[in-house]
Amino acid sequence: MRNIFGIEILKLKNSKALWIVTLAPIFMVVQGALNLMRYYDLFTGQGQNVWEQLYSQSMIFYVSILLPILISIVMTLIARIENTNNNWKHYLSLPIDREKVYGIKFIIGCMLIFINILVLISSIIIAGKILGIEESIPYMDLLTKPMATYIAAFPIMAILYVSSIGFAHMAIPLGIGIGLTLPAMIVANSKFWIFYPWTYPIMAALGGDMEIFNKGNIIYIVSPMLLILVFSFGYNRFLKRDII
Amino acid sequence: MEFYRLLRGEFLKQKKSLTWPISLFAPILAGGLSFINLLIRYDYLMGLEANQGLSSWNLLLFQHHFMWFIFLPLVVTVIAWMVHYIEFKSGGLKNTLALPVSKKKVYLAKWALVFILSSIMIIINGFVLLLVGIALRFPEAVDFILILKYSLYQIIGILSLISLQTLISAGINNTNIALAMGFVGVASSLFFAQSEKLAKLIPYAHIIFTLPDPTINNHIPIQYGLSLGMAFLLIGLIYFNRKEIC
Repeated sequence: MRNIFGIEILKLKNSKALWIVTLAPIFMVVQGALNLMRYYDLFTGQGQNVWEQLYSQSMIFYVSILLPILISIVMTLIARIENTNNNWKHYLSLPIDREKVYGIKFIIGCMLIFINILVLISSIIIAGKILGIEESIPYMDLLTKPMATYIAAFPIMAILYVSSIGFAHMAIPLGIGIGLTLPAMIVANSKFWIFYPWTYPIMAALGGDMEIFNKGNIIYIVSPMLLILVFSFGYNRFLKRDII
Repeated sequence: MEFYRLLRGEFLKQKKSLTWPISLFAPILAGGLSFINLLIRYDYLMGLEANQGLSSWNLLLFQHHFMWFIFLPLVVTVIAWMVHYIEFKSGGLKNTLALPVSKKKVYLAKWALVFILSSIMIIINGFVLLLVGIALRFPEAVDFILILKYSLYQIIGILSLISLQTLISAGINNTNIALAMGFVGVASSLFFAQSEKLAKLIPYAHIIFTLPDPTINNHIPIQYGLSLGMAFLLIGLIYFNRKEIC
């Protein structure tokens, strides 16, 4: 098992996946902080908490656009080498457990997204310190909301992972990821949001700040359930997959 | 003649790839979403104070643009990536460049392919908007000029993004980085657009300013989309001409 894990990590070494998941949230937080600085009076003029404003400014585009697209890229990269030139047939003809391969690849994908979330949290705190925000850091909010966003993104991770493994062409999972990201904001404003997993991270990240996205805790029940459902579906397909 | 052969070769390479379905499907998907949006919320949106005085066609474009300004650059980024990914995947570029063909023309053919596909996508988007308006039975006559302006501004405004993404995709050996850079740029485009000075210099933000409306500075995509498009194309040509292929 350790061998498979090490090899899978090694495969990602040249893909620059770690760079992508690290730099992207930093860039979004820098954007959010600059925007807060530009419109400081507008965002904080009525006594609003500056940390909350920095969080909202950093999160709004991150959670609605960048995060789901980053998940698409990461999950696509996870299966990149095997999908290129149909290398699955070589990989799966080796005496290794398919179950482990499938599970480990997904765990690595989820770990990369988790790193992305950790970098986001750290960047917000560092940005706040650089801006010299005097109020005390609301650690609870800054830690729990992005973590809740991570949990809410489970179904997206599973759907895109299953698509990446299932389709040899990288453009298909990417297309699915981008195509389904766009309507998310519109669907999030409608009563059908629960049927659309791409809205879950928006609800989890912005729920406390924006009334319209306050939908309670149902996401945290539905999200793991969908993860199990989609992952099991992909898992069964993978186990039955023909080598040739 | 050599250029046309190379361009034809580029089209052939994409024959069985997903670039064509993506280019055709993207505007239909965005138009379909706008249709559903207005079908459900037309009366509500027309009743809003902010939309007072807008014609139905203006309203359609406003609502559609909210998605399209993100969707179009994202899809163009993917197309630019796919055009180069094929080469990096199969090592085809070194085979092509080992032949007696001009490097500049190879690069130009790739750029032209992305431009043609993007333009087709924008034109289809215009037609889809027309159909959406007709299907929703807007009370006003079809505003051809508005849709024509919108499409034309986009074709010019997207030039800078095409040239930049083609340059990045050709310049970075790991095409995934080019893709990620494009996505991050597009995701931050609305931030850039909040400052007109900054937006002028950031190709990812140019499409935001293509909505024909008196409150929006349409000179940005026309002037800066065109000039930065040409500048990045030139830089790309020079860079690619000097790039070692081994």
